[in-house]
Order: sequence, then structure tokens, then C-alpha cells
Amino acid sequence: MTGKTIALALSWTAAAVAAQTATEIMEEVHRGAHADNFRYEGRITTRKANGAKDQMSWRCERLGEAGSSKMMLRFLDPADIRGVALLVWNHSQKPSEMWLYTPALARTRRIAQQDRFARFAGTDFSFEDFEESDTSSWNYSELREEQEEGEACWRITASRSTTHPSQYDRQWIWVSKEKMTPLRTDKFRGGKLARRLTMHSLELRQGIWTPMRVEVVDLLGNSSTTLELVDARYNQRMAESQFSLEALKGSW
Amino acid sequence: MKLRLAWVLAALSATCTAQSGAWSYRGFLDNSMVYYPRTTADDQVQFVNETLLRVEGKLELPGGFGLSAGFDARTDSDNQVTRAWRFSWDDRTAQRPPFSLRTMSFHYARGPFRIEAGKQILHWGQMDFSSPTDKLAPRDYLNPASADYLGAFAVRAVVDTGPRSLELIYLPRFTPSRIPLSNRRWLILPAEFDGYSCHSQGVQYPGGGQVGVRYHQIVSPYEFSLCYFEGFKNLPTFLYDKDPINLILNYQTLYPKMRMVGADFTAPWRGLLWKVESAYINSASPYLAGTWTYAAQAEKTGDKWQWALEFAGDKLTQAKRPNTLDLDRATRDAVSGHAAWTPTPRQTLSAEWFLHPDGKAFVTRILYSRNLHSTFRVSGGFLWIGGNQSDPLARYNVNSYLTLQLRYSF
Repeated sequence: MTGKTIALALSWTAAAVAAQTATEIMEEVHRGAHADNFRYEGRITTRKANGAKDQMSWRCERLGEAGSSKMMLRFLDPADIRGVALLVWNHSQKPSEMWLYTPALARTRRIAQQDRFARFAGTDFSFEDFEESDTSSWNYSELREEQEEGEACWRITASRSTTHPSQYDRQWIWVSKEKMTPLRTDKFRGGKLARRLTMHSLELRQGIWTPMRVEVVDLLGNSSTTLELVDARYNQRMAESQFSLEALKGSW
Repeated sequence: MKLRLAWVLAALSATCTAQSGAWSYRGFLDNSMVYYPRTTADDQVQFVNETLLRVEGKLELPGGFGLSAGFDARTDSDNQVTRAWRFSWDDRTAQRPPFSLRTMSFHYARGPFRIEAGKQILHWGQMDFSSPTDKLAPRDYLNPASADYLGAFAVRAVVDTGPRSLELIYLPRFTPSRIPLSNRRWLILPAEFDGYSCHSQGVQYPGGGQVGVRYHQIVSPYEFSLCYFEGFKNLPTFLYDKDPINLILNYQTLYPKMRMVGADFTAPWRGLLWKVESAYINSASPYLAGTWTYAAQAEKTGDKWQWALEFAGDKLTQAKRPNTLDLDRATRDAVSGHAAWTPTPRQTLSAEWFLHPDGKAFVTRILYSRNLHSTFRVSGGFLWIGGNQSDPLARYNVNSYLTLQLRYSF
């Protein structure tokens, strides 16, 4: 066995160990964020490159674990979109499902998997950004130690898995070593950095580190959206029936 | 009447005592101006102004109970809205009432079970334009280019377990669709009736209830549903008697009984979302033809745009009695579609089109909409109808119009 082969074998082994560790860290992140359900009201501000600013608000409810959770998001303001609602059903090992309800048309529209890259309601969030995947949906690798916002972090590379179609081919996730929660995620599309999500004002709520302000920047479209969480609560009374298509229609 | 009043008072008192969180509302005040460049033989009015105030409220009560209600107040410059100061509960008059109850229903939900009783908007089908299975929902066709749903009195029970749902609907009282007024521009008869003066011999409103059942299932990433409806056609069939010597057309308005079996299916394929929907309709009435109607739609949503393209057609399976006329036949065998471009969240440019495949008639609507403020929106555009006059749809070309609309939402 030549020295080159040994070096290759060692680097492969090191990469395998790193991959395992990156996955373990992400599993710990998911465990740390575990809650039966989550509810918040969000105040959203979008800023366009030309300086135009729009504000809206929504109420978001989520039931279940990441990977198999269900989420209902209902617009509260502005008045002309009040009642518009998005229902997301996440599935482990297969793509999630989404429906958008428009009360003015009394119409529920399925959002196809291939359309999830589209912006959601004029914000810089895409439909896909509302999906919650478990650790099996991405391949985690390349563990690095970096500083983010003055905190020691793991920077983990997540690559798209075959079971989980995504507009993003790669993500870099900065996980706080102390809080074991993501502080920043860079999302790459076609090899280019497309979106950056940064978590601010982290508060420990009912034992879970919760970012009270999330900023998403569309680096290709040169615009940004800030989501401020108000009245964020975990483990409230919530029933499975609140996350059905029937509930979506009566959601405003 | 006393019962109705008690119902409303109960609703209002519950509304007034509601605390924040359980009570939600929305509404708008809308003023639209329509200019028709051409007059018609029956209608010389070229400028029409309409104002509509719509308020909808919803109250969630403890124990899974709830109440929804919607009220409309409107007026116009074209006397399509009754001038009398009256409130309409059922919204079944030929003209639009100035004040009407759009919806009012009580609901109870427990786990996957939900029951809703009262006046409500009912809607079946997946298509954006012509849904073959959408037979329950009456609509207001005074201006067919912007037909809104009408509420119908119904009891609706649903068991929704997530991937599967079963819906049962009973409509104790028939609500017809509102059709264009006889002395207005949107009622244009086929060419064979040109020169005739029309005389109504009365309207036969059907009695008896209507029932519908719909089963829906999600098998990711597909969805399908099966449905059955036994009731009445909510668009009228006219039984006519022509007197070619005196050029008089006597007609009776009927709403024939019908049975419908339908299905729809949704699936993503080759980068598009595909929907197909079909319904088989038959009737013991000699005034309604048996038909098999079908529609297929492809749609795509992009970052700043969205489009959908639909083809709808039908095949006659059972002949009806001659001397009958259906208003909805003109919209069959058509390619329709819409596209919307939203360069910024505040503005949208949209186009809708409707085309008979042989190219004999078309309808195009272009609309630009802009939010002036978070609560004000202004829209302007035009509707253009054209084609060969041998096509009944193209005869509406005199109704091409320009429109400007201002809406305040609250």
C-alpha cells in the first residue's frame, strides 16, 4: 500500500467520522427543539432593493415533530389578504404537501413540489422555506469550527438527498455550540448563494432556544424580509383536526 | 320572519359579547366604473357605476361551536339593484337586493367531525374556470364576466381525517343562479331569435331538497375525489314557443331535476400541476339533456408569475326535448386560461382568456392592479369580446368594456 493510498484511506475515514458527527449534531439540534406544538404571531417586514417596504402579519401553528409535523399559517393583515392560509404536511423520507386557501375565491390550491421555489406572498421566504425536514432528508458533512455573531459555532454542510427534492442543492448551517441551535443558514441554488437566514434575539422559551427575529435575505433578488415573533409559545392545546383541509377552508 | 330575526339578533349579540381572539372580521368597500363603448338594441346605457360594501364576521365559541355571517349592501347606476329599501334573506330576486344576507351559518366541530348549518357558499371542483362537478353553487350572472357565488341554505357535515374526507350536503331549499335581466345588455339570445319580442310565461321553481356526497382522498402527491349530486340545475332552461308570424317568443323558465356523478384528479407531472375533472349528468326530465362534461387543466406557479390553461368540453348522451334553450351551453368546448405577473407585492398584471377552439369567438380580460396603501387597491383594465357572429359567444362583442375599480379593504 503506497503512502498516497494510506493518505486517501485516512482522509476518507476522517470524512466518514466528520459526517457522522455532523449528523449527530443536527440530531441534537432537532432534539433540543422538540415540542409537541408551537404557536406564534409573526410581524413581517419586506424591503425591496428600491426601498419599498411592506408589512404584514400572520399566525402560525405547528403540531408534531420536525419531519412529520403539520403547520397552518393564517394571514391576519393587511386586510386584503386576511384569511389567506397555508397548510403544510411534512413527511419523513418523502416530499411535504402544501395547500393555499384564498377566501375571496373560496378556493384551495395545491402547491406542487416543483413550484415550491416561488416566493410566498411577496416575502423573501419561498414555499419550501416553510417545510420542516428531519435529519434523514439531508446529508450532513464537512464539520468546521467558526464564529458567528461572536458565538463559537459548528458550520455544517447539508447536501440534498435523493428522497427529499429541494430547490437548494446545498446549505451551510451555523450551529451554536453552546445553545445547540442554528444561528445562520446559507442556502445555495445552482451553486450560487441564493438565500441567507439569520436568527436573532434568541430567548430560552419553555426550555427551547427560540429566535424572536428571523431575517431572510434574497441575495439574487436583492431584497430582505424580517419576521418578528410575538407571543411565541410551545406545548399549547392543539388538535390534529386543526390541520386538515377542512380546517384550512374555515381558517380565517 | 320572527325566527329569522331571532337568528340575527342571536348572532349580533354573540358578536357584541365576543372577546378579542375569538372574533374576526374582514370586508371591503368597492366602487367600480364600467364603460361600454357600444350600445345595444335593448340597452343604451354605456356607463355603469356599482358600489358594494361586504362585511364578513366569524365567531369561535367554546366547545367547538361557531358562527359565520356575511352581509352585502350595494347600489348601482343601472337599476340592476332594487331601489326599494328592503333586506333580502334568500337573495332569490331577479334584481340584486340593496341589502342582503350573503352567509349566516352555525357550526360545530369535534375532532375530525364538523357540521355547518345555514346559508353558506358551497363549492366543488378543482378547475379555475369551468368545473364540471361544481353544480351545487348558485352564482350571480347579472354580469357573467364577473360572476360571484351566492349563498345557499344547506346543512353540511364533514368527516375529515386528514388524508380522507367525506362530505354530506343537504340543501332543503333551492337557490337559483341569478341570470342577466331581460332588458339589459348581458342577455343576448341566439341569432335565430333576432327580432322576436320575449314574453315570460312564468317561472317554475322546484320544490324539495337536494343532496350531495363527496369523498376526497390524498395519496401523496396525488389527490382525487368522487362525488354524487341529486338536485336541480341552478341555471335555468327555457322552454320556448316561437310565433314567427307575430315575432313573439313565449318562454317558461324551468330548473330541471338532475343527477350527477363526478370525479376529479390532481397530479404533478413534467413540471406542471395537472387537474382533470369530469361529470356525467342525466335527468328524467325531458327538458335537460344528458351530458358527459370533462375538463383538464395545467398550471404553474413561478417566483413572480402564475398561469393556468384549461380545456373544457362535453358530449351529449341523451337528447332533450326540442324548443329548449340552456344559457350555459355557450361556455362549453372552450380553451380558457389566466396568467398573472406580480413584479412587486403591490402590483399585478393579469390576463384571462376564453376561446372556442375553432377560433370563432374569444373573450380576453387584461387587468392591472396596484395597492396604493395597505388598505386601498386600484384596478383598471378592459374586457374584449370578439369573433364570428355565427358563434353565440361572439354576439356579446357589443359588451366589451373598460373598467376602473377602487377597493378599500378592512
